[in-house]
Amino acid sequence: MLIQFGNNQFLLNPDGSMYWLEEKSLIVGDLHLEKSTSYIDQGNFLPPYDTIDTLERLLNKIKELLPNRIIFLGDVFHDNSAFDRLKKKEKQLFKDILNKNVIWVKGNHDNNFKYVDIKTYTSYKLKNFIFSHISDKKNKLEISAHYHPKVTFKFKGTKISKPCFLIDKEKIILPAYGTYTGGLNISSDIYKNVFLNGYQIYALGNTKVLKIEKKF
Amino acid sequence: MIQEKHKYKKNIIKDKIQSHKINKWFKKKGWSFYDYQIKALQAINQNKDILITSPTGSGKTLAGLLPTILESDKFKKNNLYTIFISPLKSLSYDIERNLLIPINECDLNLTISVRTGDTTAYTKTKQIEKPPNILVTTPESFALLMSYKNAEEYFSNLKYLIIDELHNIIHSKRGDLLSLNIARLNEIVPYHNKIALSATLKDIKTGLAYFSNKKKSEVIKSLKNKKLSVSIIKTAKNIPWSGYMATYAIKNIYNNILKHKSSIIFVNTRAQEEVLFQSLWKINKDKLNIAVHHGSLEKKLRIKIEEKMFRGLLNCIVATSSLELGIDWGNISLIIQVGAPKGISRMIQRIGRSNHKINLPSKAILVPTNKFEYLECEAAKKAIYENDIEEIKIKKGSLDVLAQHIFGVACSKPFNTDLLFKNIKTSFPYKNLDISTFNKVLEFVENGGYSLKHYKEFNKIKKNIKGNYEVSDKRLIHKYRMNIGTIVESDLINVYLKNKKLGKIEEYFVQNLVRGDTFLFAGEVLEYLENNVKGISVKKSKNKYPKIPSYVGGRLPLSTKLSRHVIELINNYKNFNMPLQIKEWLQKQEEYSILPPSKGLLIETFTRNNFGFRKNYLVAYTFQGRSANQTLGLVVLNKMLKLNLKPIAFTATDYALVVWSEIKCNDVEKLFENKNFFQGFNQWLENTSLIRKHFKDVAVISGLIDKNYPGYIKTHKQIKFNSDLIYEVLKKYERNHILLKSTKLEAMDDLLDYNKIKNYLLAIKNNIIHKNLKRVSPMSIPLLLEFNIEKVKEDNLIDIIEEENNLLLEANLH
Repeated sequence: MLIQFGNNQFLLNPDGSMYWLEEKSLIVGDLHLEKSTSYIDQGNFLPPYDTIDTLERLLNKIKELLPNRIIFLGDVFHDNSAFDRLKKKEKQLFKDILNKNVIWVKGNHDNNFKYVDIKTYTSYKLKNFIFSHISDKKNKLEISAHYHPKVTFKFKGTKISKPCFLIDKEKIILPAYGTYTGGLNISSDIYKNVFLNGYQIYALGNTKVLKIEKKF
Repeated sequence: MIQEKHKYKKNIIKDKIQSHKINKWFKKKGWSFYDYQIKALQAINQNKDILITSPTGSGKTLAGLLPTILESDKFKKNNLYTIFISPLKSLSYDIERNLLIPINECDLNLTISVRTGDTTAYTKTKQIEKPPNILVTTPESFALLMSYKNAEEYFSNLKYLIIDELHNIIHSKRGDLLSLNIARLNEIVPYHNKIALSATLKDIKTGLAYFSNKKKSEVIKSLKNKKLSVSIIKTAKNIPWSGYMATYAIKNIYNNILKHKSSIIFVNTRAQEEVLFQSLWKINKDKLNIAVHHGSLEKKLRIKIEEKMFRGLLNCIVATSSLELGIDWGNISLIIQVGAPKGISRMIQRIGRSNHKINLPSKAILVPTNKFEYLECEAAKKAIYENDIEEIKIKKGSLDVLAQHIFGVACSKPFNTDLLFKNIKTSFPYKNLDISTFNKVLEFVENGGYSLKHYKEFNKIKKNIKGNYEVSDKRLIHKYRMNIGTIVESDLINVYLKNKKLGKIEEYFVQNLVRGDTFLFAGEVLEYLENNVKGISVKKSKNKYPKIPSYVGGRLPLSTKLSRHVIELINNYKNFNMPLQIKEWLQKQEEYSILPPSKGLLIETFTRNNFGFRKNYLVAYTFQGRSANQTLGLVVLNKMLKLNLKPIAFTATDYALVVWSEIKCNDVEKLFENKNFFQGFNQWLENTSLIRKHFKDVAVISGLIDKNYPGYIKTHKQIKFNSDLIYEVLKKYERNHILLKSTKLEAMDDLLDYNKIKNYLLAIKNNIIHKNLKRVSPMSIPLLLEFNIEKVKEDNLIDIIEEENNLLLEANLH
């Protein structure tokens, strides 16, 4: 699904990533890698495959689009010590990704994490666009993540919930990309503080991104 | 106490009783002991385990407790001699209340205390430090007690284990948990007697084997067959086409309550209860004392109501199954059952509560909530009179419960795996457990059981120097104890209005709600907002009438016998004594379509426009009961998918199956062909919402995810764990994981066995009648408002949406 935002073209992908055509940049948010292993202390041993699953999906997208740049919108890791928990293969895949031109915007979950010489930012400006983790009212043309938006709609008597992009003239919020990430339903009041005059909803389908109309 | 004055034979035990204080008390009340109560005492005297069955509640509890009472003179203070296990919290308090009367009035040397999830921390501590002589508790609290370090010491003086309402607990996950703990108890205290109390069981042998491992055991039947008087409510009002509300007959219900000193109205769901209660109060001109009772009422209030009922201060109580069990609720003279009874054994128990003190027949009135239910009520009436009780399905012990148990054992003291395995196998549901499955469950408890042993260094239970497993971190023990009550609560979720908890509602009601949907609850019309970790949050709706009809999610499917009777009724309706409106309905069905035949299968197809969407419906009147219909539905959905008919979802009731799809099915016979019917079913099952529901339960009960994180503060930025996400990941990366195996076993248990369905398909072969209609048929109307939907995998729905380019998809927001 191709959209116009700030006079540039952005491709919304059904895996939750976004591709900026003019800058050949792939943008993803909220990977929350190693979320599965973050509950060990509490005695919950969740299936530890979220990292490999998330990284493989990301790499597939990278192979498909061959971007010049990858922009992380924060919460790459679920916590600050997550990187040390990565398994060998996962570490390798992760390093492969980092070898590309990566812009790493810090999130609230991984704000103290540093990887070797990769520079991390609180927010990043490229052309007229601001990339941040959490949306800030004062930013015009901002692309952020953090809220894990999801939308619920009915189809012929059945209820469907899907992660979604939220877009208006000045702001885009990306859905969470990570395998174990849940979502915050867009009906929440939180979004009213970000989008003052309504927004467009694009839900993730199987092979497409679906536009969802708002019913008030 | 339910006793009367009557004659009994002379025997040895009589002397023992005659000299006891309790006998004087009985005489004072004008009561005497039943034959079977004496027989029970005799059997106990011979050191046997006993199973006492009785069609109604009469005197079972006393029979169970008599041995304890007679020995009480020898009891020492602060020693536990008898443990009485009852499935419901309210029942436990009821028993205590009833026992306290003779204990006080006879000055018996007995202390009694109740322990449930409601018991205060103070009382719980006291119970451990200074054990009562009789402890009344639930299976979960019993499991908890067994998980304490001093469990051996605590139970060392035990003489009697009494299991109440065995029929209710047998072949369920709670039964599994209880059974496992009884096996452990047998190890700690080999010489104690077990007494099980039950409603009439069809399979007595299994009932006995379920709890007793003694060679010497006996079944004692109470031959007190109470006379029953069951009728269907007489009303001039129109019985609704569909839905599950009895409000159309509210005046008739009220008039019946008025005629009786005290009555109970049983409903099947919380939602029905709310509506009925409200409606009764609206017309309560005679200012009757009407109360409502259910398991999730605030404890103080619930006990207050139970107290009032017991003392005869209430005229009527509206209740869900939370109230159906128990020994004595005072003098009830009328039982009203709203909605067709789904289980005959249960219904007989319920009816037996009325007039049980006097020699009048137990009276019950059935109130059908829609036209179809009328037929079900007639069938139920017949079954009740014929005492045609259903078979209880035997199920293997659940593996998620086993996982919870293994950890519980470790909490109590370090265990040796060989010995534990041997002990587990002595419990009936787990008697065929094989060592490799046990080891997989053990590994799961240790570290999640993943093939590459990812969490090996963090094992929850570890082998110590002696080679026994013990808990590696004490904090985990605390967490385990907090979560142990999850088995019972798993299908009720909280309803919150802002931050105020209004109550609990059945989970399957909520699963298909979207923002904007309105329903009736807690006395008002509420609007669904969202689902979060705590439960669902709602707000008060501006609408007067709810959009979503509150519905029944019958747990107990109609038996095949009852289903057959309903078809007979339908086919013979002209000769049967039924209200005119029912006959007219059936006549219309005959004119517009045909009546479902007693042999063969009627399938109707029609198209409907609903809110601008076309839906192609297929209705198959199989009359096989909900379990079988659910299985059929799943298979048919899969077949339609393969035939590219783009199915969306289906609902199954006891008598029919409704599927809707994008493309109309013209060759319906193909869907019900018995050749290769179940081909690919196993794989298909993996993708259904049915199995995901089971996985959710399995994930919580086994300890993979928790419902309550100790000390974890939940903010609106929910950090909840969606079990669906875990399920998908497990399917993709650990197909042979023990929890997936456990889930599949549970799902298969829910569905009927293949042979029954195969036989049905053979029976209808070449006997399928397809009616292609222009409109909805009269008989299908009740089905179309069913809310318990089984949909195809979300991906399949998305596929359909993606194909239809100009589909308008909408989400409700404010």
